[in-house]
Parts: sequence; structure tokens; C-alpha cells
Amino acid sequence: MSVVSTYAEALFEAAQERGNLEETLQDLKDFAGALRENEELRRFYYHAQVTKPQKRRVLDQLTEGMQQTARNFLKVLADKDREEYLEEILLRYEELVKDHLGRVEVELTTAVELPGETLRRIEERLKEILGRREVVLENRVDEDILGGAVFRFGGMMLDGSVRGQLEGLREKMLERGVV
Amino acid sequence: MAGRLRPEEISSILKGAITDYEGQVRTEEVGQVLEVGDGIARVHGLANVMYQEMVEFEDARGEKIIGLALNLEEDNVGVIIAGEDRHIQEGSTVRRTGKLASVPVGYGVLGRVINALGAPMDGRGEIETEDTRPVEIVAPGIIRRQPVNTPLQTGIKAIDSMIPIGRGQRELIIGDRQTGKTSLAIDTIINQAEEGVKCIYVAVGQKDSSIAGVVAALEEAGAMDYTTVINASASQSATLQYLAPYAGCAIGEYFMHQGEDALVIYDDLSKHAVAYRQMMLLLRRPPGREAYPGDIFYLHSRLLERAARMSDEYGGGSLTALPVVETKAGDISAYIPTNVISITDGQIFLDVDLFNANQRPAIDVGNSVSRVGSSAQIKAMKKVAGTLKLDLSQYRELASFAQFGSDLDKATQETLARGERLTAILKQGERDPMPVEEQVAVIFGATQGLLRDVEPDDVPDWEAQLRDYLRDSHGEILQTIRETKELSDETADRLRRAIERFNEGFEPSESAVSVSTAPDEEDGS
Repeated sequence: MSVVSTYAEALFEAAQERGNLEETLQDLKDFAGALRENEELRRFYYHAQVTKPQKRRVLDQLTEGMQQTARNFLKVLADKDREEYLEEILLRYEELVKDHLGRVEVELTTAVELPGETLRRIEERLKEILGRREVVLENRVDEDILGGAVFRFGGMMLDGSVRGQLEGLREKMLERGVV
Repeated sequence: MAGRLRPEEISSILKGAITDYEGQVRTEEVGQVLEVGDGIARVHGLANVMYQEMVEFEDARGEKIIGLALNLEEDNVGVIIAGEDRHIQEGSTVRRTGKLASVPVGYGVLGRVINALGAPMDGRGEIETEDTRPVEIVAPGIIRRQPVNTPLQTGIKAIDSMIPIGRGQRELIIGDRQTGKTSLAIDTIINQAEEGVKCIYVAVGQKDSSIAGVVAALEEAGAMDYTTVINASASQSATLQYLAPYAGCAIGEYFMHQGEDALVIYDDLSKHAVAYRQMMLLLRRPPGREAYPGDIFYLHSRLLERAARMSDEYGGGSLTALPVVETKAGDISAYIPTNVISITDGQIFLDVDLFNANQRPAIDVGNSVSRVGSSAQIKAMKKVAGTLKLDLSQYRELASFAQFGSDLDKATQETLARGERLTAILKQGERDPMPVEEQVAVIFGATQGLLRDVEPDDVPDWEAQLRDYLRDSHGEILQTIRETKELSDETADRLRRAIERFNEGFEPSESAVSVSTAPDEEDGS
């Protein structure tokens, strides 16, 4: 088993025992977000020459408000010199949590903002189609798609946008050598 | 078809598109780039991607770049990128195409210069072909094959007489840099003009300038009409260099399955191995001997195994492979040379010293073999060249020995004289492949001692004049050999008499060597 899966599954089991799967996920996501935004923190966290006790101390102070599981996990990663895998482990962990909760996050891109009522109806419909307990719908507005909608969840993308169809048409015309 | 508009096509497509407008929701599987660099990307997602499937990156400029999924791991996919990777970013979208890497095949690719994915590189517009074919295919099994039995005439005397190559054979061309490996391959292609063999020249990791030279040479000889050049030059990504030989093979296989004969030249497999090594090291596969990955042998064996002679039930086509391998300082026991030598059905070894001694093509007859060999030689050639190899090896043995002594008996002198002339007759100019019947006539003359009175330096001249003479005055002899492929006693007699008559009138033109003295004294000098 790869490093990423090993850590992700261990984290999942630990969090499950404590019953704080989602809180842990949120805490770690926040931490990863902070890493991305804060140059100083990033340099410190990935630095190989900061001693382990030092790193542990700083992490302890930084993560005071976090779940115990998340705090311990970050420290374990630092102890084992596996900091570089944090993001990938997080991706995998997120998948495990979502699978467990039967939740699916759907990114819905439309050309215009949709009213709340429509979104709710789409959500209901998606729940039926996907057979999941919970659908988290995130609506993004992108005028470039011209019209229609693009659904994206897991590793799937359903492109029902006007732009997508125009592109399809273009490919077809190129294939037949019309242009 | 570029630029030509077909209105009726457009309206039919548009009509179709409008009619089923509602039904068109494209479903795609996507992933995102975790990291990218050195032509390699690791991708998260794409859970259902196939091994060697093509994937499509959307880079920061909105352009689409093709990649090939090679490492399917538990939580990520290792993709090699065939194209410019510098605009692909972390988080970029990657889509599955559902297609394995494939190339366009068919008669439309003949005369074209294309890259490893079949995109045109000669500025002559789109390639119109009837079909595409995956580049990786399992080689035909034993039931679909038959033994090699038809010669592939290279037009090179030294090869066709002593190291004959059959259609469907794999014969390695090996030697140091600058020993004429590529020339040998080009001459072989040029000689296929009358033979109806479709040719594919795959250039891997070479300079673009040399490839331009090759294409120009082929065009000049009129050989591009039946040849495809696949160019994966040193400036292209390692991915394309890795794919190119398989693409060439796929194009050749198409002709083979049409019942035709094809010839594919991989120039060269050492650079192919280096490109593969680069990719595999970057994908973090463990290095082995000379840092090549563990499957480097399989890389070449599965490629060369695809050369085949199909049985008659399967059309009877053939695909001959002439891989080229470059050695360093004549070391044929390095890793890649030994690998490819053990895979192929023989090798043509080119030697630097011979090349520098002006013996060109610089084929080292002692070290070259063809394991399928004489079953793929026409009878006439078998007859005249039967003892050639033996004679030459005897000559070489004596020659190294005779360097020390001055007093040699008559028999030794004669063997030496004969050997010198035999060696001289095997010389051949570049871009000058010779039809097999003329080869037979020339070698017949040399082995039958009809060259005794000709100075070794005059031999090329003798050969050129003899060929003209036979073509002009004794076309029927050549025609008989060409058509019956045999040299009956009667034809041999006529040929001998013709050469004797020619010898009487033979004058070396512009001979700078010596004034013509009594022939007996010249012998063995």
C-alpha cells in the first residue's frame, strides 16, 4: 500500500473511533489552506532543518483550537518526515470520509446565478439519480459557458453547456474535414 | 482538403446537431494534476483510466496536450506528456479520452513525414487515411505465421550475397557512429522501388538536420512515393521518442495485414532505450543495469516480435524490421547491443577500421550473420555466392599471416590475389543499390576467376563497365536470371563467355594506377 493510502486510512480509523470525521477533515483543510496562503508557515512546515521537538512545539501552539485527531496527525507526519504528503493524504482522506457518509459534493457551473428554489430542486433530483444520502451542491457562475450547466462530482464531468456543444460541433466538423 | 468548404456537409452536420440538441450531454471522467515536471505529471482521480490510454490536459492557455497514462497507482496516475508541458499547472484538468495511443494508417501516410502520433510534419496538410491502429499490439502468434522464404533485396552486394535478409526477418544493423548504418538503411529503401515493398523509416532521437537530409535523399531517388518517415527528433519529448517505433510498426502492420510486404527501419534503438530510461527514472521505477529499467528487454522484444511473415490464410503479407543500434568504440557487449542482438535473427556489423580503409559499405563479414539466411536467397545467388564467405575468411587469415613473410608460394599468392579482388568487388557506392541479377553476374565473374587479370584498384571500374555491357549487349542473360531466379549451367556458360569477351576489350578508364603491362606479372603483386 502506498504511503498516502496508509496514512489516510489510519487517520480515517482514528477519527472514526473518536467520532469526529468531519471536524478533523475541516481542521486539516483549514491547515492546508493556511499553508497555501501563508508563505512563512509553508517554509517552516516543509523545512527539513527545523528540529522535530521545535516543530512539534510550534504545531502545538498553532493548532490549539483543533480536534485532537487532527493535531496528533500533523505531529505524526512531522515526526515521520512525511510532511510533503499532507495534501495528497488529505485528498484521499476526504474521499474516505465522503464515501463513509454517503455524501457527494457536486460542483454546478451555470452561466447565470440560479435562484435558491431551483438549486434545491436540482439537489433533490441529484440525490435520486446518484442514490446518495447527501448531496452538497456548490453553484459557480461562469459566463464563458454561455448557457446550460456543467456538473462535476468525483471524477466525473457532465457537460451540458452551450460551449461544450459548440466545441463538440467544432470537433465533428474538423473530423469530417469540412473546415 | 485544407481550406476547401463543403456546404452540403456543413448543413447536414448542423442539422444533425440541431435535431438532437437536447440529448447532447457529454460525460467525461476528469482528474486533476498533482504535480508536473520533466515531461511527467502525476494526476489525482481518473480512477478508471486504462494502461497506455491517451489523456488530455487542458493547459493554462486553454490548449489541449496529449499524455499517456503509464503508471496506474493506488492513489494517483503517472502520465507521460507528449508535447509542451510548461503551461500545465498544478490543479489543471485532465480528461480521459477512452482511446489507446493510436496512429493513422493506410496508403495516405505514404510519402509523408509525420510525428509519433501521426500529426503531419511536412507542411502538406491533413493526412487522409482510411483507418487508425493502436500503437501497441500483441505480435501475431505461431498459427498466423509461416517461415521466412522470400528474399528482401537490399541491393547491396555484400548483404544480398553473404548475409541475405528475408521478408519478415529482423536483422540488426550495428556499428559505431559514422560507419554508414543509416546509409545502408536508406539504400535498402531506395532499392524497394521495383520490389513493391512499402517502407517506413523511424528516426528516434536524431538531429532534425540529418532527418531533413534523409528525406531529401529519398525524394531525390523517388523513394518517398512508397515511404513514410516518422520523425521523433532529439528536440521532441521523450514520450514521442518512445512511441515512434511502435507507431512505425503499426503503420507497417497495416500493409502486412493487407497482404503486402512492408519494411520498417528503427534508427536507432539505442536512443529509443535512452528515451525510455529517462521516462522510467522520472516515473521513479527502479533502475537496473546501466540505469535502464527492468523491462528494457521487453521494450525491444515486443517491438521486434511484431515483424512477421503471415501465413497464406492470413494474406501472406510480411513486415521486415531493420533495427539500428549504435555501439561505443565497437563494444557489442554493452547492455542494449547484446539485448537486441539476442532478439534479432542476425546482425550486420559495421566496422570503423574497414570504413577508414575505404572498404565501403564497411561490413565486417566475419562478425555478421543472418540466422534465417539462405532460405531467403534466390537460387542463382546461392549458387554464385556459396563459397564467398569461406573464401574471404581464408583470405583474411592468410593476409594477416602474409604481412610478415615476403617469399610466398604460388598457391598462397593466388589465394591472396583472389581475396583482394573479392574484397574489391564487395565495395559499393552510396545510393547505388544494384538489381539482384547484376549482382549475380558480377559476383559470378569474381568467384570464377574472371577477374584475375584486373588490378584490384580497377575492379569498381570493371564492374561498372561490365554492368553497362551486359545490359546493352546481353540483356537476355540478365532477364533469364531475373525471371527464373536460377543460374542454369547453360546460362552460366553464356554468362562466362560474355564476360570473357568483355574482358578482352576491357580498358580501365582514367586508370591512374599503372600502365597496362603483361597481365601475368601483375598477378599477386
